[in-house]
Amino acid sequence: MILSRAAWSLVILVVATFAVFALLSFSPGDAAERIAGPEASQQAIQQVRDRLHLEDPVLVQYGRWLGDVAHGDLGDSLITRQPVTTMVGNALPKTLSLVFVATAMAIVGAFVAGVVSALRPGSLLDRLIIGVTSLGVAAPSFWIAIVLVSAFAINRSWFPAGGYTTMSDGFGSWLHHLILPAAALGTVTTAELTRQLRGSLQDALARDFTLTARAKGLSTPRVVGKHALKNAAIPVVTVLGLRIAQLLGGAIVVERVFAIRGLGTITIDAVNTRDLPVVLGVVAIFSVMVILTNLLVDLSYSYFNPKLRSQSR
Amino acid sequence: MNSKFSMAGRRGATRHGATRGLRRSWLAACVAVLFVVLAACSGGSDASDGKSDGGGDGDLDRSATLRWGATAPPTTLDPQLESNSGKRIWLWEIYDRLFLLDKDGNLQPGIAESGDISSDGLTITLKLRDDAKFHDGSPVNAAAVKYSLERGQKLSGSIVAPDLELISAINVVDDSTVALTLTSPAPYLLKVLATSPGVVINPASEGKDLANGDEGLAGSGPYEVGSFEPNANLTLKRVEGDYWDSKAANFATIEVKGYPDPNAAMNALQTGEIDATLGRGEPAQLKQIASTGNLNLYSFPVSGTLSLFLRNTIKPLEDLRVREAIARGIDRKSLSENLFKDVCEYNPQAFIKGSQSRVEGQDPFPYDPKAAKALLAEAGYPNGFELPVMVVGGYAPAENGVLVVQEDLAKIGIKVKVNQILETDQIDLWRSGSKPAMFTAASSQPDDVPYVQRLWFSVYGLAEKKGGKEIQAAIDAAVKPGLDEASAKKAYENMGTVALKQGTLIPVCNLIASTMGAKDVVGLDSMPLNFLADAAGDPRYLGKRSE
Repeated sequence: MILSRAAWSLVILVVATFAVFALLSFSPGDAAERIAGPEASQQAIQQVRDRLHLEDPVLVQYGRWLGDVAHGDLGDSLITRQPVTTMVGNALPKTLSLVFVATAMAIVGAFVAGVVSALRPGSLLDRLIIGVTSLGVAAPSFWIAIVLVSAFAINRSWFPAGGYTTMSDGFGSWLHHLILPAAALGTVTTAELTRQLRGSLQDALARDFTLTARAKGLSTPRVVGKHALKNAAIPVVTVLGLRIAQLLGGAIVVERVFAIRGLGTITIDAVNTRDLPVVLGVVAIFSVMVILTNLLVDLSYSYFNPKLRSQSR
Repeated sequence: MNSKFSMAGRRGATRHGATRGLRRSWLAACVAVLFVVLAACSGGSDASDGKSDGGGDGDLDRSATLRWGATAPPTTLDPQLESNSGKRIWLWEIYDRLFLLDKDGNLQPGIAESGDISSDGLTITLKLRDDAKFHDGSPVNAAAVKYSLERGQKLSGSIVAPDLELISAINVVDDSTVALTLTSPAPYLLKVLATSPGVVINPASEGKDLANGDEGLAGSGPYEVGSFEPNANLTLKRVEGDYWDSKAANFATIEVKGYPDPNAAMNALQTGEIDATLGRGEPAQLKQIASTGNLNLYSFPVSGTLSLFLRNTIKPLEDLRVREAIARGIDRKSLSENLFKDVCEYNPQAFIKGSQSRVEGQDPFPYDPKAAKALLAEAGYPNGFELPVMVVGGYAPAENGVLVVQEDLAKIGIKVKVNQILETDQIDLWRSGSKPAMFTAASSQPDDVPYVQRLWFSVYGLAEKKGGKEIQAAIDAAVKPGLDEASAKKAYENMGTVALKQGTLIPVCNLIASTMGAKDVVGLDSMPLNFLADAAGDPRYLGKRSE
């Protein structure tokens, strides 16, 4: 099964990168005009085009890129002349950190709110949580980001308004810089997971095996923690898998508001300057991350549902 | 040591006419001495020329760090490859230039102490200072200047090549003298050499890729590279030892921090994460931020003019009467004063106040909707026509302004169809020749001649295919050698008038640029933003007041 998925993953990678390559190739303008500058003569622009082989047929250019990738070379940026692997290597930890903290905050937040809500359906607290999560699902992340910066960075100076420090500069500083962007990025995920967990946990709590567990005299925390939650987790994990892909996309906006030079920011720069090798490199990395996330989600099903384990055997 | 210098000749006076300290020494028969003579021995420029209000070095904390929020940090550290003028200013801290500009756009000595123009205008002789050194300790001499200019001409992808192409030969006369032979007279070249075309690079760096740093080798500026991530961050460390310009290098470290979103930079300024940045946003909002955040805010118009560009090779715009009707149909004064209050200063000419080409009070096509309608009828369009106008999406002055243009032109029967485009596509789409109009700001230049050349010929081509001869003749007259100051001013004015009468550029207003910074940052009020390309100010004399 894993071999077949790996093969499909390769196909997806090729299709995704070719689609992006073709889209950018057919859009007006090219990198030569950006490299030569706005005041360059047509002759100077043509020289750059010739040097970078930008007028070769799209398939030839794509084939050349694919051949280099097969040898582990994502090429060099047309604009900065840096190796794409270096650029992605610099940006990836920032985006992963942001997505990781956002996901962690979403899981913790959704767990608390979802369980409380599921255990007290119809209560004031439950209705409040439903209301807040409805707002959370609807609110765009850039708006949340602006509100958070205004409230907690500018007015109260609790958190920095932007920037990123590496973990080697100190875990506290790293986390301190990521709290606001991760909160902005993770709000929708938190809201969706909360609603999903509330629904599936309520279902699980109404099923026979939890009623049996209660009848046996187990405490509510044990019933919920040991029996109901595990069963309620499968749809939540499915949603989480989908949300992680969306978090990677959402990071583009949030990184910009918080001046974090992650994959999102370099993608925007690269698209604006038609820097194809960088765009393709980022698309390839994003695709791999989404494929891996989906694989992990699939594998997790067998942990949460032993029936799937026995079927696969 | 401070120094004073006087400027001789007509080009030295340039935009502000009788600039203080000017002393003409025009030798009519033989050599036209054009420009700067350093009166005192060495050191930097006079503080009265617009350096910081922090003025005396004693006020400044030279161990301080400047944290500048840049919406566009450098992409490359090769000064001849960086195409964005806003990014280039940081490379000027690493690489010296042959000349500098002060905040009024006047020429000041840099690596070159003077530049003399021959009577036929075809030779410029640069006298170099003898106390400048590259970071590796080697002297900045005539051979280095020759190497730098030739590199700029030949380097693949060089963005300075178009500016240097009129130099046909570069001769080293002696260690401190370089003679530039030009293909045609170009006295404005001295000012051009005060920007990136004039950077000086160590010949010892030949063959090295300077894009990611020069390893303490290629520059002679007051700073060397500490760290660099393209489009993200640049840290500059002051080079220890004496630097020829004693007023510069007031910070031990400069951190250029990237903020792709201008609002993020404003947020960082308010929270004290950065010390200064270019002000971005609505003027009222900037004023509010400045007052609540205890920040300094300085605003001034820049020479790039927000204008309606018209293509005179596309029907019906090929008819001058139609272009004139469009110009007369837009109430540009009202637009500037009502919609653009504090954002853009009304200017019916393409030349900023103080510019040599500007004729005060002149508007070639004043607002007159009745005359506009009559002109349209005369041209065969009594019921008007549809005019597609390109506007960069998200560029507020253009997006908002074009709506007023649309409304005004509707009154004379012209239906403006607004097409939003990406900023990065603007020049390419315009150059394609198929777009009849766009509403945007033209990038500014350090002198009116290259400004006119770029607008009407090389970049925007407003007269490239039609009507160019008259403008070219006016340009030739403006750069003619041997003109006295009054004649030069007249020739520049004529050049501007002739160009504007083509009706291919309908100027509306000069955009107002702002710098914002903490109260202890000095010099933000005197960065020469207004005359440098794209309002890219030179940060050389910024400093931080001692507590």
